[in-house]
Amino acid sequence: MFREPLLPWMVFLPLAGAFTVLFSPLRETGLRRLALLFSGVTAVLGAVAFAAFSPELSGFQFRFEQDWFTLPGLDAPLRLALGLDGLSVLLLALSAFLMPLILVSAPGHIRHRVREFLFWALLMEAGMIGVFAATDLVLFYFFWELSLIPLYFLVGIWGGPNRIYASLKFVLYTLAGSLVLLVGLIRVALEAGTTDIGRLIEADLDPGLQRFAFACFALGFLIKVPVLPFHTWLPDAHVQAPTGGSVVLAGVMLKMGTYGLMRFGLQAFPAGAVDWAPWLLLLGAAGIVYGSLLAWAQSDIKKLVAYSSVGHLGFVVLGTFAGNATALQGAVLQGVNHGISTGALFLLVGVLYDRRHTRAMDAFGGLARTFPAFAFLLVLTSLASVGLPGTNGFVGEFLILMGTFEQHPWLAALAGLGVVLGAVYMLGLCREVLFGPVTHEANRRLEPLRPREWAALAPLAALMLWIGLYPSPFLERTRFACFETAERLAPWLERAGEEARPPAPALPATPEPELR
Amino acid sequence: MPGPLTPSDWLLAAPLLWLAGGVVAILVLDAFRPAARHEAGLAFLALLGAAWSLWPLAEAAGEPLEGIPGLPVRAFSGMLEASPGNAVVGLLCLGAAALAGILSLRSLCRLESGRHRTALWTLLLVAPAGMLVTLASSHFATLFLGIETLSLPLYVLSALRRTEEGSVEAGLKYFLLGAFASGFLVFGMALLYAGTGRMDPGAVTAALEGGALARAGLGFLYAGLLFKLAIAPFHLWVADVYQGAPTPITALMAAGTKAAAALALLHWAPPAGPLGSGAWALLACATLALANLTALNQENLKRILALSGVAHAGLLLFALAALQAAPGSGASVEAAVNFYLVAYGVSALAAFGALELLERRAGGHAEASALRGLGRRFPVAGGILALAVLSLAGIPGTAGFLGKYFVFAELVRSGEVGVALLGILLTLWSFAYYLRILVVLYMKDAAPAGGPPAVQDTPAAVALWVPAVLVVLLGVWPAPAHLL
Repeated sequence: MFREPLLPWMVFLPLAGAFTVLFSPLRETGLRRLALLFSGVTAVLGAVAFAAFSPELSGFQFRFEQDWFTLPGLDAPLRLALGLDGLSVLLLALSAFLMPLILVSAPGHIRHRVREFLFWALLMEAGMIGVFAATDLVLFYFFWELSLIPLYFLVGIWGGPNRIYASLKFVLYTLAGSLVLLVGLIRVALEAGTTDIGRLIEADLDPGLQRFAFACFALGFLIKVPVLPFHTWLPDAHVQAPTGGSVVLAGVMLKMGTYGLMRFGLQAFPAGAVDWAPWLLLLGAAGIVYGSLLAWAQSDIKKLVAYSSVGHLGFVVLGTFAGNATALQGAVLQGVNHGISTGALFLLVGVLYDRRHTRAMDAFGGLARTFPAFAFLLVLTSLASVGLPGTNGFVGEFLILMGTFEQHPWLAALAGLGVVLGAVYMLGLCREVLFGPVTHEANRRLEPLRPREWAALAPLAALMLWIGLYPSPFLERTRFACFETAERLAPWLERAGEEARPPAPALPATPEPELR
Repeated sequence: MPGPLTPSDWLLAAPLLWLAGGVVAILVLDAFRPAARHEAGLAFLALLGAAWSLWPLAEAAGEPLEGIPGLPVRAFSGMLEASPGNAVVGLLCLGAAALAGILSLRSLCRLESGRHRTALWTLLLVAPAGMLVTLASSHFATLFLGIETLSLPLYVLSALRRTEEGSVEAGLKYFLLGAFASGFLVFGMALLYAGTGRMDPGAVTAALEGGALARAGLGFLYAGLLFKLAIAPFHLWVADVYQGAPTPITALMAAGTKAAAALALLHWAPPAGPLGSGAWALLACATLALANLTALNQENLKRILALSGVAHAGLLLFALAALQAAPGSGASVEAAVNFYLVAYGVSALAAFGALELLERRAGGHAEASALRGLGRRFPVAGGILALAVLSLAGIPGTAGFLGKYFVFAELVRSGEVGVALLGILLTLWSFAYYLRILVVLYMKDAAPAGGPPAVQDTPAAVALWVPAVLVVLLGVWPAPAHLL
């Protein structure tokens, strides 16, 4: 059977590829092909994982377990435990899928120190896949940080003029969160006696511990996402990062935060999630509006896309904490959607930047006539990002808004305002860049899209339409996990609701769920 | 009454005998045949012998050693006491001396056409002997003897480049302040003995219940130990001494002295008492904060790494705070400290060793401006330095992460979650200067090559792989290290 070794191979192949590239005697082109081979095979395995994932099974699939070593104070040894469920399968497939596209498009903007670039890119891929596949808390943390350092180098070496400041800010911000997360992790591991994520979810931890752990974990994840007050590192990192770095950052890195919120915030620490949910919902909704307003005000295309991410991820946070399965399912899907459409937007910005070495919106205009293929792709991606029916963004946003509306109609209305604002700035971007008179002579002689640029963009465009027109393969894979998670949340929500009301003295109190 | 030596006595004495034998052999042969180049070979033989004789103890983690009832091993009527974990730290000290020796082969050995060779190699054997005694000391006599035996050689070794101002300054500074600290130490011992009538670690407990005299003695004793460990406010010498000393010697000091002093402090730490965990936590936080604050503005990589060492020593005090807060946790705290010391030790060895190789390429300078972009030009040394820095920073996948994890796990287990949060956020601060080293190595354009071309140093380049591989191995597969 291929099921057990599938995930270890998906982690191992990029890792092996990274070191093969580092020590290989090949020259530049050979190295690029070698790296593409490793990440391509990983992507195929990711597709296999997606296709072979059984939507009707509960719990983790493709499980792989191997004893690792014993931490003092724990009953069981740590394990190299990997597995997939409905929350992680889409993101895992997306991570594996994006990396070959980045490597294909890389020759456009990575021209020096290619060997190092490929090394860090593949190392990061191993980390990202590991984050989504790990079913052991400590292993999760290993991969979580393993994916951070490569991005630091990617931004710091191949980034723009202000790259050192941006990469330092990005790493310090993220580490602040992950160190607090580490304290939460230590306390959870010591008090629960296990680091197995499946067992932690089953264990029904003490509510006090859950609240503490949720606060620690959520801080780490909220910074990574990033949610409103913690978002200031994102525009810097995005603007300075090379195209490939931006694609990974938007496509996968930020999703590690939303995934963590679902996996740990909702599944393992539901009591904490219910306590904190009102605040997080508010932050999510505020993020949607605030991010959109900021995006509207930008004149640098890449900054605009970066701020639009803050808005889009506000949707994901809103859906995560709305408290029902519909919204959660929308949040999972919207995470993937954001990865696809924002990834494509960053690739498109890279296409322009490689040709004109500027990202200022007013340096362009009338590209629809001079650069039609680009114009087509930009319009399609913008519409997907705005959430036009028929594209992927619609499905995700619709589910989130519908789910949120059931519980919190006002927040849904606020988020709806965000959708409108999104249309304003994205269509504004299209108008400025694509239509109107050609203002710069250089824009008349733009080189048409190269095959490698097509190869990177066409699969993303196809995915946008696929998810938009026929989302059921994606939705059915997430359905089971989302419903289970919402069910686990329900008793805590009820209890929170009862505490808010004055207790009825005549009735016996509801029996407490058994707690450890 | 002293009887014949027991197996435990032999077990703990054997490494010391190997080292002392090496010293005597070098000196005697030098007297008869000053021209022959035998010192290095003899020194490595002695270090290997010492490691070989220490190995059985290190390997005995978890299972009782044959012929020796009970662990930890007590020897010489309880004047020395070492657990298997301590023995692993002892192996680290021996390894540090060996690496310092290998790094010196092409640099320090050739100073003034080799006039210092005998001094160098004998002192490189005496220093680890002192470290072994210190880390196993459980009597005032062995503690003082050990600390002096490890310090005196280092005073001399720091000043070995005697034509350079910085090196002489380092030696003198270290010597004067070190002598002062030894004075504190011995005065504290005297007061403790006067107050309690004891010379074993029990004196500490007795002093806490005793009068003002003994308590003052306790204060002096800790001042002396904290000086060796470089805890704020006794850390001011570190940056200058580490910078001025020849880098191989700095590596030995960073890995070995710190390990020995930390274990001595742990052995002599008071059990739960009026000092409380708050005092230790406060010292730890102050040390971390001061070291990080100072390190942020440094231009010299050796100074940055020196101050990082101070920060790490501060972090270790959190383990003592945990011990105070949860008195029953002695064994697991000691395991955490042992692991931390080994993790920090191998990282520091890799860092200073790689820095030595890069320094030679940059004409002997460790300034950030001189080392710009060298990580690219010398990928192996640069890569090892980067790896070591990541380990010092505590990135998962390296030994440093697990070390940090264990110390903070002890703190959380003892119930001091707030202190753990504060401490871990203080370590965040240190990332700013660790990342700066990576920036210097990889993200700046290379400085123009200056100075004479460096000698190819194959032994050092090969030896550096040992701590580098250990950094990764301890980080991902710590089980065989006999420390957990």
